[in-house]
Amino acid sequence: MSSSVPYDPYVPPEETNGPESQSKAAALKAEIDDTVGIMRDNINKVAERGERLTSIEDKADNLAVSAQGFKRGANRVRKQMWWKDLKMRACLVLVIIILLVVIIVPIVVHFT
Amino acid sequence: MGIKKFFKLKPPEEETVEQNRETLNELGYTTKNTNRKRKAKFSAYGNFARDKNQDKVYAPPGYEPQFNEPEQGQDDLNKADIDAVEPEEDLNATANTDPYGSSSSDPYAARTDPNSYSSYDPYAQFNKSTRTQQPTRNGYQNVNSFNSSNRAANPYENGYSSYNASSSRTSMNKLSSGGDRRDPYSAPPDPYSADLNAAREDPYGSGRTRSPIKKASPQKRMDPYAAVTDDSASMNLNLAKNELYGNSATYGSSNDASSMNLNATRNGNPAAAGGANSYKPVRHRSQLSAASQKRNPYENIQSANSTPLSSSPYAYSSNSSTPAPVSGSNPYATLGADQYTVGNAMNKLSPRQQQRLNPYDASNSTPNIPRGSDLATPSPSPAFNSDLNVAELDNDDKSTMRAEFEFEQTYDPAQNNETIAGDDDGIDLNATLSETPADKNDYNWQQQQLLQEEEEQYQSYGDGYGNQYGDGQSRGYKTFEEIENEEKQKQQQEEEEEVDEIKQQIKFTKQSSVASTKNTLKMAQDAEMAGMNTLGMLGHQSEKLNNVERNLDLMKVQNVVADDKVKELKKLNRSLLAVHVSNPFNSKRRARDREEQLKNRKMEEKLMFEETNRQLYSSTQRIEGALTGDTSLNHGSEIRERYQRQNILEKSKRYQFENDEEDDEMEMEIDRNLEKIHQISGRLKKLAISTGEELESQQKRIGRIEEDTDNLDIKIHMNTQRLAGIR
Repeated sequence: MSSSVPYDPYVPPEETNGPESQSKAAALKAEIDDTVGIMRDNINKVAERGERLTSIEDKADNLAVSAQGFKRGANRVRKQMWWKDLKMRACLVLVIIILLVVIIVPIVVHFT
Repeated sequence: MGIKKFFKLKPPEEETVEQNRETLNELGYTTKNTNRKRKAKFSAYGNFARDKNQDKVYAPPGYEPQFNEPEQGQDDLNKADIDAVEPEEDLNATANTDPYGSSSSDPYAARTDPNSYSSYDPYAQFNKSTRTQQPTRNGYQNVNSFNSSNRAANPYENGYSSYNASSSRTSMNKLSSGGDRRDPYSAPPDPYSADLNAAREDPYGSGRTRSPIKKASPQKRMDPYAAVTDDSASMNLNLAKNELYGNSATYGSSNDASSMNLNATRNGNPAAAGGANSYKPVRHRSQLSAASQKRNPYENIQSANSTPLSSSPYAYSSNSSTPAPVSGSNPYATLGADQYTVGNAMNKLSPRQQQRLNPYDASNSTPNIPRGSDLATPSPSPAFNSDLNVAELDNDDKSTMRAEFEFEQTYDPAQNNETIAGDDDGIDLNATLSETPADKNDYNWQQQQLLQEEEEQYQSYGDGYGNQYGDGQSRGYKTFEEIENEEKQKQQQEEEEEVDEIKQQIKFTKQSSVASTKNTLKMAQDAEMAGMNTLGMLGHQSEKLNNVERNLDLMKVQNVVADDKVKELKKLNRSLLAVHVSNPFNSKRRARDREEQLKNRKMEEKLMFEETNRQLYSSTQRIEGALTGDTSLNHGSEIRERYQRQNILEKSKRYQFENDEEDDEMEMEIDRNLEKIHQISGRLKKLAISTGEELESQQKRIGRIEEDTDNLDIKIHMNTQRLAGIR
């Protein structure tokens, strides 16, 4: 057993290989850390977004209520206007009739 | 009001939404287009989210809302299966009354062997076989058929008496329909019965019945000689050695423990009588040497057997000279011992056993005295010299015993037979009888050894010579060179053991790393899946947001119209007497202004809708890119991996030692997994980034929606107030 050269095949590869794999693993880790950081931001954003969505929901409700109110008001105004219109027409008809009566009655009286 | 009722006057009904829309369209206002169906790309994710979403309701115990939905479907399916199977069973046998037959029909039917029709229902087959057989053979046939059925379909039950009984009961039931099929069924059981005799067919049965044939420990039970030798440590250890070399520490140790006691009781008597008295100092020495050489795996056994020195060729020679103590000194018996039990065994040795050690030492020492003095440092007392020799001999023993062991593996049967034969003659005379086989073995070993090594050749030859002729004086061939060789061999062996240990460690670490990479890969895939789902749901929500935006835009437009109308109405609703005449001189300019205004409004509208659509488009693009970019990457990697196998193996050489196929495969798997993890992490990052972008854009959109909603709310409120002001 000649022990001039020590039987140790592992030492050189370990040295060369160590940093490489280390760097690879480190790159992977850095990437994952990046991702984790981004996802942390995302989580914050999602939380904020959730808050905003809730507020939007509120506002949409308010909007719906006010739109409903506008609709009711418009409907009320419509009816009101219709009545006004009807009354106006009736008044007009009445006035015309009165006018006619005023015109026709003197004439009839005059010629009779 | 009387007049209203009298004339049945009523304002016209409110127009429906559709009518309203039509009128608005007639007037040229933008309305919601209900006919157009938008293509929802991520609607599936909406469904997914809806399924995943569970409204969490917090309630005190007892007040929880009940959501129990009886799952009838699966039960029905199961029943359907049963229904499908049971007619078959009925045809085969009316054994439905048999609880085993009826209940077990389904699972076994599921795993039936297509080749053997009889195995479709194991019990049915069983019935057939029993029916065909004579009633006298019934019980035996039951077992056979049962085993066969076990092998075919039923892995769970084997050899229970209750099943046999049930099967016999079912066999009693005569079937009219089954009578025709008896012949085909009767055929299969026969081979099974034959096989059962051989104890080969049933895996479970074979496991039990075959073991006595195969294994050494049951052999002891079966063999009367073995039973005899059970007591003697030599036989027991022989068997142990044959079966378990180097790995079964526990087994060897247990054997040692039991056999040691037995040996101590049986063999110790003559030894104590013969050797203990005169050679006490020597004994002490030998014990010390044996204890110091704990690392020798083969020596332990010697100590355990309380014949530690007997394994050495010198011991043999001494044995031949002093027949009484030799009884337990079968060298091979000692071979099976475990390395780690040595120390314990030595410590545990009773004084009697220690005395047993003596005779060999004594025999060894007495002739060795002159040689020992010649070779080693001369010592005043012959006893001391003998001690040294003994120690050397022990060293020899280690090396030679290993060789012996190697040899012995090849010569197992012969040895066993010999020992058995020797024991056969007389249990009590075990000592004398076992001597001869030991010598034979030794001789055989010597022959083998002659072929192997030259240096040891002379020594072993001398030993064998001494053994055969019972001459203790043939010892002393040991020189320093030999001792050095022994030392070297010992070191080599230790190194080999260490290397083996390290190899094991390497393998273990590799396996664990494979497992961990697998786990990581799985988790990464899960994470990717979750990320993709999240992104998809975000896409769905983006579509929803787009819907909201569009409707909001419409609301804005129509609110403007409503605003105009309200203003007009207010203007018209002034007093009757107010003059509703605009300036007639700039009517043309007003008309032009109005047109301009309308155009601007329309353009604004268009811009608004375009903006909304653009946002949706960009978000959809982003999400689609993130979701679909992955698969293409995947394919590329697979193709690339095919060409990189060599490269990977080359790289992984650094982590390999004496790699075999399995090792390569593990390395490949690790590398593959790592590669995949790398890809997935890259994709995950991409997903995360696009998710962040998407969230950002949606944030903006949501903010805009919020703003718009607020503004609209205010405007509508103002309009409502204005309308309310109109009387």
